[in-house]
Amino acid sequence: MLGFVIRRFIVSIIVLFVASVLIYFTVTSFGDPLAELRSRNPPVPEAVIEQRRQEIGLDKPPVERYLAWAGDVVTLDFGDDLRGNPVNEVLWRRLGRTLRMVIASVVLSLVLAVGVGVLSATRQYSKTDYFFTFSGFLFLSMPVFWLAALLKEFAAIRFNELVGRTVIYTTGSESPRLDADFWGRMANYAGHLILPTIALALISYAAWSRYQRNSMLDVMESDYVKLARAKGAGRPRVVFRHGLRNALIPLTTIVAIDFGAVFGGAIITEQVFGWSAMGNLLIEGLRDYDVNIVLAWMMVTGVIVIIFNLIADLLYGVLDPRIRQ
Amino acid sequence: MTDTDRPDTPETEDETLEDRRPVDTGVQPSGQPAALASDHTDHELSVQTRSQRQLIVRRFLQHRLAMVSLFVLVLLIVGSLVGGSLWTYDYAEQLPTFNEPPTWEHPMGIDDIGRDLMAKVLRGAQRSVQVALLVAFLSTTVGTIIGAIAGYYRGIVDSILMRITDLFLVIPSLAVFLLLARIVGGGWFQLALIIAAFFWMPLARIVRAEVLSLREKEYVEAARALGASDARIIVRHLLPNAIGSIIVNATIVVAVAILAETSLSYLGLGIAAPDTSLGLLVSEGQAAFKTRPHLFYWPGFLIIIIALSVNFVGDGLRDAFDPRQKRVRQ
Amino acid sequence: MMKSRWLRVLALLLGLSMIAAACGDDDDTASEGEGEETEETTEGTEGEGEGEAAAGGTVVFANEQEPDGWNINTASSNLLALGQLTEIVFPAAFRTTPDFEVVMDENLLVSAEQTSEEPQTIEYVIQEDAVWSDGTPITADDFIFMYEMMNGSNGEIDVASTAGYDRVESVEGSEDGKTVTVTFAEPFSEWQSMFTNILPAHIIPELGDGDAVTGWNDGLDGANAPEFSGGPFMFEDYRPEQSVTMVPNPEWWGEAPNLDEIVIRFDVDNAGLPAALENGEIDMAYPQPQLDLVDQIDGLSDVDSQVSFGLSFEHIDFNLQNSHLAKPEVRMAIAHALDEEDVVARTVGQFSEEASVLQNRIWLSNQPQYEAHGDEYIGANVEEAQGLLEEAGYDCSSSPCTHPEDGELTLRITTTGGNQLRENTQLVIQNQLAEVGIGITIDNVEGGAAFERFFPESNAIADQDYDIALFAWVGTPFPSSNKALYTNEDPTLVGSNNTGYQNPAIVDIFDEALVETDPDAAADLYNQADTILWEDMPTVPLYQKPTFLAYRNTIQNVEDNASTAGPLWNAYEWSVEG
Repeated sequence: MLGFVIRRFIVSIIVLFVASVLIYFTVTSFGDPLAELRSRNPPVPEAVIEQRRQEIGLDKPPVERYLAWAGDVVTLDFGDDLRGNPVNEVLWRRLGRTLRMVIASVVLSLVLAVGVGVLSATRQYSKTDYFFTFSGFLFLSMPVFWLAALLKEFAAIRFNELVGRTVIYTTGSESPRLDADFWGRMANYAGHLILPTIALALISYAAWSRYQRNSMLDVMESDYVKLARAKGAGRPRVVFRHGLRNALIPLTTIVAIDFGAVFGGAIITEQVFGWSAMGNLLIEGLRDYDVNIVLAWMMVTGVIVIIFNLIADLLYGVLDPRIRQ
Repeated sequence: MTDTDRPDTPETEDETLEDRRPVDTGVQPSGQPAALASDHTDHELSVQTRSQRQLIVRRFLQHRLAMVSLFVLVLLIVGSLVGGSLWTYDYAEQLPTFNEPPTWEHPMGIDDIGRDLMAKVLRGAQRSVQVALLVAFLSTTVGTIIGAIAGYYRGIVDSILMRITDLFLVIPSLAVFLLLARIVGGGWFQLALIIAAFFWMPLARIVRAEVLSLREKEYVEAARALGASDARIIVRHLLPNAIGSIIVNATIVVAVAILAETSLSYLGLGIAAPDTSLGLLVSEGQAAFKTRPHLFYWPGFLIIIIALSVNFVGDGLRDAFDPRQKRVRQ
Repeated sequence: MMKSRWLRVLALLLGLSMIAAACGDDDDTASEGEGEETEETTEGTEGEGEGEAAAGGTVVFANEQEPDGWNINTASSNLLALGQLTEIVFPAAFRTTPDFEVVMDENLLVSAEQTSEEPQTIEYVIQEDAVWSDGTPITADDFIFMYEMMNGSNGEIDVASTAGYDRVESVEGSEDGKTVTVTFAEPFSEWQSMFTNILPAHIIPELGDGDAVTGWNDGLDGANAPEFSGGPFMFEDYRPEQSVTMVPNPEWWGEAPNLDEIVIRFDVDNAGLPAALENGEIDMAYPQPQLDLVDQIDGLSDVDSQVSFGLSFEHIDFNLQNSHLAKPEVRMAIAHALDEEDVVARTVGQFSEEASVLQNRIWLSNQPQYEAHGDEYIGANVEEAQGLLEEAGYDCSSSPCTHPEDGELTLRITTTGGNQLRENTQLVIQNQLAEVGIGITIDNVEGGAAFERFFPESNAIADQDYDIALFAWVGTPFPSSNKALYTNEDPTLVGSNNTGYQNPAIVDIFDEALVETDPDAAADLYNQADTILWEDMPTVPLYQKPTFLAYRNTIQNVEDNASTAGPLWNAYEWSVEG
């Protein structure tokens, strides 16, 4: 198992580098990072443009630039952005923010998914089941920024009016000049996290809850659960001790895999709620044809996807007794 | 085998759940073509086949929500595709008046440069539906072909195709959408191609997994022994058994594609003005959330209803194709 | 037992979330270190939430564009959004008022006069008590330093514009450095444009470890917001991607600001503005206006707004390499076919009744030198347009018109896709030109990438890829730089002259105006140049872009300055009610 995981990891990393080559040459061949400088009024002196070109290294052939980049990346140095600032600084700062949002929303959707999944599985074809199934699909079918606009109006502005102070924020990852103690800071973070977390969790929990529901049904139909019930175990006990705990195994795997997807999919949510995080970084990088920024984003996101895929593999092997046998 | 047959998006996990599970609860071959039955003398198999297919259709027809959704969906798709041409105004026509509130003549009002907003919404719906259908068609075709070839030939072909699939999975699709959308421009056809280029991988893996397990079955052996070509075996004997997963996946892709188009439009990289789409309309309408709320709500509702009914149809199909349903509905 | 394991997994995940949050902290404190500790503590009492903003004398200003460096005098960092912040931080000899007049800054200078014409000599007298925020007096040394950095003789120095400095013979100080004498080698009519955003000569070299050039180029880049000031406010506590705070300069010798701080937020995008304003997260914003955005903000009961028309103007440019557009008749025909008033009515006219058609490429309608030169082109004149086309050999019996050699008269119009105002303008133009038989296809490129079509990487005219371009130039009270927009010494190169237009007469007028030290005479010359541009029609000006300033009505004395100065120009006069 471990050998397989390691082999798979190495292959994934190679694939990631192949991808970086593709992206690198696409970005550099289609975008001119200096065009904006040329379109300014008063006109920027040609000498300045030339100097900038050399600073960025545009005077060197792309292959050479790529190799230099790849050499640095191996040492975890993502180079400089177009303005000459180290990409690493920006990257880690923004990664922290994105992780904050993604982890919070994964936790929330996990809780929602398990709760709803169990409820609809134990009351299959009941009104409750239909209600949750329907609302799950409803959120799944919503454009996230549409939902976000509703949340801003009804969950934030109206709520704040009701309590008379700003508790829930609509924009940013924290208040500007936040200068509070640890708990004050956490409270402020939480106030900014609420809307994006809800938005992200609502649109993604449905898939997991369906999954949870189905695996619950499977488990509940299995012989050993039937046996437990025949032996007189109470219903709640059967549901939780036997049903839930076995049905959670496949869900855990799925969640691990999807973590990467949620991470990449948070872009719109970040944008809507004004989070200067990873998604925004990518959008700005693409806008400016800042290849180092784009690649840094891709490498980090790619590595996270790969790592969580591996975790999924490992979890699957460790958690599922049938595999262990 | 466990390395590649896994889901990559939440939408497909039910199918792949089957793949991951040991054979005892796994998918049974379903919907085998009737033609195959005559190749074999196995009478039982053909009876089972026919009843299997009927069972699927019957299960789907019994799924009330799915049937209602299917009806709504067909209505919406047809309406979207022809609605624009039935409406009095053309979406591009500039009227003498501009920036007008809704009237009977113009139920959604007139925009800042004098275009009828109803016509714009109809046009937007048409474009969104076209994109979604084309994406579903393209990604299903590509995914099926690649999955089938990889699963059938195994070995080096499989490895190469699956590494390519991995490549597409590792490259963050949104990054490429953003990049390509800038390069190729905002036509609906290009947009559909770009989205489709990143939607075929899950299906490829599912089909590959099914083909891998099916290709060892006796009836495939038999067909091979009778001299059937590879192409024929794949098309006639293997794919029909994977049809459930393929159809379900294609339906879901329609919903996801509609939403993907919306996201791209929100970022300003979807269909470019003056053409329009539901995504573009709803992101423009966002600014009008309080002043002209109908511009925010209606395109949004259309997106939701389309995606929702697609999801329900997909769910109905999934249930119908799922052999466990026998157990559940006893 | 099993259940508790799952609980532990959950707890672990929550913990991860906390760690992620804490990671954010570290970075913030790191950048916070830039700020001065003493200010930190005084500000600490002000309350950190924007909710209390109004009570504490804080204004939170949403500024979507974040500076990418802080030396506004370098080409790399010369962004409008930064200039509007440095307006209240760096000293300047002259400033532009909201009615576009250029006046001496009386805070910095006692006088600034031309004392001799041959050679042109300007004498600046600096206020006795003018000092930098570290107490060092502002003197001739700072003027000399500006001159040394900006005269363009050292190619390694990154300079936004050398205009004027490159004509200076010498800059000398006297009277303890409080009098500055600038002697020009060649006369320069726009001497008032010089010595804005003055930087301290004693600090900049320090930022480059003793090397002035390094200090100038890189000392204020990225996260290194200036910690000095020679204006009413100074920067403090820059948190990249989030905010920078402006607090009163303790050493400011002029009228003291009322506010305790202005927090500039970079993390609120246009779409999120109305909600953020309504929710009390920001107090002020200066977005590009869009109809619904303006309506929605106007609907907020405690928010006021101002629409002004600024220095930025939209225009269409003809690529003179195009076989159709090379014919003056075709360009004239397009100008006649356009109904400029209708273009305005369907675009910027919806924000303000004061919107008007711009009829001058050099002076803008709110500048005193403005003259309207395009009257004969106002309104759609289909007959005139078709007449001109027929003169040029086009057959307009069917649409589009056709030329025996150059084929159908169908042209592409290109702009920055995603900019709604420009896209709408295009559509109106397309519709209007169709009436005459000029086919227009829309060929946009997303965002700023469109500029690559007009200003290609190779800088060669031959590599341009557009027929008609639609974008904006930023006007200026000092129009000599416009020369570069309408000529290029090497006609095969683009530079800033994206139409490829050449006319020696224009070059002569611009050169003459540059050395004309009488402002009225210079203004006349520029108007003459514009008249020639109307005759040759390489471009058609359309309208000035509106600016839109929204602010909480508790903030007093807010007045937008639609010139490049921006809304913060008089922030020292602001106060917050309550």
